[in-house]
Amino acid sequence: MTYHTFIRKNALRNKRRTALTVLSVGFSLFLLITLQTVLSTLLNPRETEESALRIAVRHSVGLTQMLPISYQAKLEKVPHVKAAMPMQWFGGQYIEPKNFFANFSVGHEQFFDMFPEFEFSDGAEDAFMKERIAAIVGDALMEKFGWSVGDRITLLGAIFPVDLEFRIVGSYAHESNDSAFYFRHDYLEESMSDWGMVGTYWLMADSAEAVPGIIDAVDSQFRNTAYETKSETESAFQLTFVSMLGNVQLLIGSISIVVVFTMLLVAGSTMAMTIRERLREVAILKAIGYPRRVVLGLVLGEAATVSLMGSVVACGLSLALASTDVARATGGFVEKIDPGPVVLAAALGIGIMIGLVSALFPAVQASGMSINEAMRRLE
Amino acid sequence: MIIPLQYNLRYLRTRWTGTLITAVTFGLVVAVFVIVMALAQGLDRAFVTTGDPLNLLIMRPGVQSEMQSSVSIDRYQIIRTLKGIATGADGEPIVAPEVLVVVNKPKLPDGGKSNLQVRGIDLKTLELRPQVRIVEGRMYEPGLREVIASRLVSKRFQGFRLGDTPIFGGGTWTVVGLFDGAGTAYDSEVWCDYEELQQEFDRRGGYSTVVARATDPAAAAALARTIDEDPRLKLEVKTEVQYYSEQTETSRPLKLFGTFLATVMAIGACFAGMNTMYGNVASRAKEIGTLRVLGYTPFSIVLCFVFESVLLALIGGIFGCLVSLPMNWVTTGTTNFQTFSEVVFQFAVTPRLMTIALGFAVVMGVVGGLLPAVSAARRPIIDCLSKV
Repeated sequence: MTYHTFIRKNALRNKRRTALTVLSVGFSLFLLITLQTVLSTLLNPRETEESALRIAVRHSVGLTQMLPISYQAKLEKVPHVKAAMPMQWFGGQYIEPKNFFANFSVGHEQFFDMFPEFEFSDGAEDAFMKERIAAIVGDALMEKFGWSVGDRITLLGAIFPVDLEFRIVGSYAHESNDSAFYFRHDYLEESMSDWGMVGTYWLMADSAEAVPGIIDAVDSQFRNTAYETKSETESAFQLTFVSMLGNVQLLIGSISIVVVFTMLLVAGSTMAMTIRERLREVAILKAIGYPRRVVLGLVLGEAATVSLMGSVVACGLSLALASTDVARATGGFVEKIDPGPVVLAAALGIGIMIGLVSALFPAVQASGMSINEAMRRLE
Repeated sequence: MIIPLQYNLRYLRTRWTGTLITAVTFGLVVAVFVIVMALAQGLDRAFVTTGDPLNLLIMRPGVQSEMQSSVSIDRYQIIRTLKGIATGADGEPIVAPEVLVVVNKPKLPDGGKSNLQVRGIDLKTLELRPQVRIVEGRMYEPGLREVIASRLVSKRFQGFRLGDTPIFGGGTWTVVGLFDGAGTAYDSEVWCDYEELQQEFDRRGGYSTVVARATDPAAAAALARTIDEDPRLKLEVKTEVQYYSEQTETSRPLKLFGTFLATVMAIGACFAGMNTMYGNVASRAKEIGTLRVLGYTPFSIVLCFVFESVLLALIGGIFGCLVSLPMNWVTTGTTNFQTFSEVVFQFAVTPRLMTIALGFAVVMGVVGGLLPAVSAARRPIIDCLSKV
């Protein structure tokens, strides 16, 4: 019998206990994976080739302050800027507040260049250019409300004192961000009797290298004016929203530590229980000449095997969660919990570590015991 | 016949290491649950305790928060003439216009910026909101560019201590007083004279909201109806209680998060508890056999071990509650995305929350203990006794 078989047989000897430990470690580790995935999605907005080129420009005081619409022409003249698009969070409600979704007014002339990663439905671009009340809607949102191209819908103004009627002229597909609603800024501008303001501008740089230069150029151009700007990359802009939530990192970080500690306790007490029952075998192994480190290795190996099985359960649960509609359950707060291979591999590693650490104390104790003592300690 | 409680207590004491580890496992689950829920509750409390059922908040129809509302001056004048409004000490109706703005200010200690809500009030507002008390310094004087700040804001933001001179809206102001909002949403605000705020932020055209105090609940309902139906006004009325309970939406993701956490952790802890109990039961086969011989029924054996498991979980639950109690004094903040400004609040570990947590621990104990207890009771007596 090899050491491997020995470990495997021992791990599966008390099937119920092993199953319970595996499940306990599995659920805790699943929680850990989920927490870390949510945290890293919040803190590291995915940077793509396109998003690395986009720059958000807003009023230096905050998003509730507006910039004049006249800035557009000035921004377009900044070197290396390919396009400048006004964009305004409309915050309109569809029928009632609980049907929440993101809706923005955008500059229709630049919209299609600004988001090259969106796959628009046929004819969407032409119709959006021609029709003032046109709207383009993400596929997920179309499906959620059962809309189809050609439908007329009304959004009730919550921030703006106007209700706007739209005609959906097309949809767009995108792997993660496909539940927003876009319409023309000139329509909002006109409904607000030539308002002349907009919340943000989005710039498209001609290369990623030009981005820092553009940010400096824009902010210094408007410094000491009535409307100072704050420009930042798309990912930095998204991070400001996360920082508004409060100290998410501290909360999730400390909970994760507690979860790891709980797993250690659970695995440790199980291993202690197991080893206590098997002291006689440990003594026999020693009596027939197995050295101390082999005995130690066998016990540690068993613990690692059990917690590794727990990690596998955890990965299975995480993959199951990744395929469910998290966005709906959380009201769009978390779009998706998809851990990805790196986090899963880390989870497997943590699982093995937990097994080893938890078994270390009882294993050292058992392997260090003299044969006599071990034999006598039996009940 | 029921097996005496002493039996379980003594066992748990003899096997104290095992008891401790299992209880701590349950305790940590309870602690995480209590702390996350205390966060959500603290946030809710900031909103819920803010409203007064007699105060009517009059806003532009369809807005989600007072921040987005606007009410013109002539409409305010009309509201002042309506019936059912309480009269103040000066014989005037208690109706106060309010102007709300958000300023972006550096926070303590790291200087990261956050949005702070500034409320322009009328001195009448103090009659509308008796919870707010000045605890240091004095009330502002209209016309002198003075503000009062909540004590929590002065601790959380730079430049809002007594005597500081914060700059916003172009002007320099002086903090002349600190107030305590008694855990309400006002604890996240800075107050000053509404007319000065209107000038600084170029809001001369109107106010954000108008707050009116009704004489009694019946008058409040009647007044709300009158305002709703008045074609000159075209405004929406909510009682403050209604308005602030709508704002508790902010804590929804947190509650969801807390429930998810607690559920998953509890499943893990239940498996661990089951393991301990199976172990406890297995090592006591002989004792169980003896109890049966003495005439205890299988049912009383089940009861005995479920009880032991519940006891373990309860010890854990009490430990968890005790560990989370100090959080009560921790102040934190988040953003209310309906007003885009920071809400400062304290964790609220309430007796109710702790009761729920202990109930939760009992459920974990029962779930973890039931199967091992049943397996103990179903073992034939001979088997039990013949076991080494």
